[in-house]
Amino acid sequence: MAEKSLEELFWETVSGWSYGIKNYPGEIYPELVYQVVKELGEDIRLAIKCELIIDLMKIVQEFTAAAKFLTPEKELAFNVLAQLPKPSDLKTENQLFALAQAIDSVERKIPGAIERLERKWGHITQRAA
Amino acid sequence: MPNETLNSGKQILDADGNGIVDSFEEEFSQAPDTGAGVESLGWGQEYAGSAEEAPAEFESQYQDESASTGTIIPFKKPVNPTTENPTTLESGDIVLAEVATSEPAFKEFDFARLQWQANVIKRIAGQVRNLSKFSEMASEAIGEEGIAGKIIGQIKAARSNAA
Repeated sequence: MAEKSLEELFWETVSGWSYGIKNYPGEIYPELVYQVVKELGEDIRLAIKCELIIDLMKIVQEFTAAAKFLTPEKELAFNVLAQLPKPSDLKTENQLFALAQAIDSVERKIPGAIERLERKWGHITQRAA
Repeated sequence: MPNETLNSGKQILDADGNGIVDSFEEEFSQAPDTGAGVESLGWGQEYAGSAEEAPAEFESQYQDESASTGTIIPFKKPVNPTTENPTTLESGDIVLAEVATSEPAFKEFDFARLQWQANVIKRIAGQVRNLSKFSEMASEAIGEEGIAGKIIGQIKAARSNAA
């Protein structure tokens, strides 16, 4: 059996989480899905560091559907965006390119994503200074 | 049969007569009082100072040394994956999907409840797909230009071809 690529493994992970949400035996509510997104955050950051270009809206749509549309798509998208690494944590041009593409995948559907992230990163920079 | 001298609280011996714990006082005096117990459950650093708020049932029933996020869910019985969800599951997957519904009594510690529920989801998800596999491979790939560069190269090539 051929070894799976990082990209395939990443999307399998997302599918796994979706399956978990879909089959959760209790009531699904937004905060619970956001908590799952936070758990996925480490993989999202790793994916960007591995220069994988990921369509974040695909994650949002999978999770929204798995949660039976009980979680607002826009809020979920911003939660996913919040898991992205800071540009200053990235080292290569390709990583930055992957980050930009990931953000752009949300911006195209939900305008305001870039602005929101710039604000967040601005806050972080100010606090660090 | 271990020779337990619990009443003295000074010595517990195993079957071979080796001391297990010299004294309860010693063991507990070495435990750091920094909320590390909470961290070991994977609840996040921000809650590290609230160890005493964690319900005792949570620690005793749901701690799982093997899970990165630290909780174990009391599954009742295995479920046949071929009948559970044939479109999602793969042959050979081990699924224990029936999750106990009796949640611990979290009254004031909502974050613990949230984390507990998220871990139920992780359990269900993790038994279908190996969630740690990506992290392992990605960690290895970071810094290895070969894998990461190859992927990005393929994407760039595909995009330029499309253009």
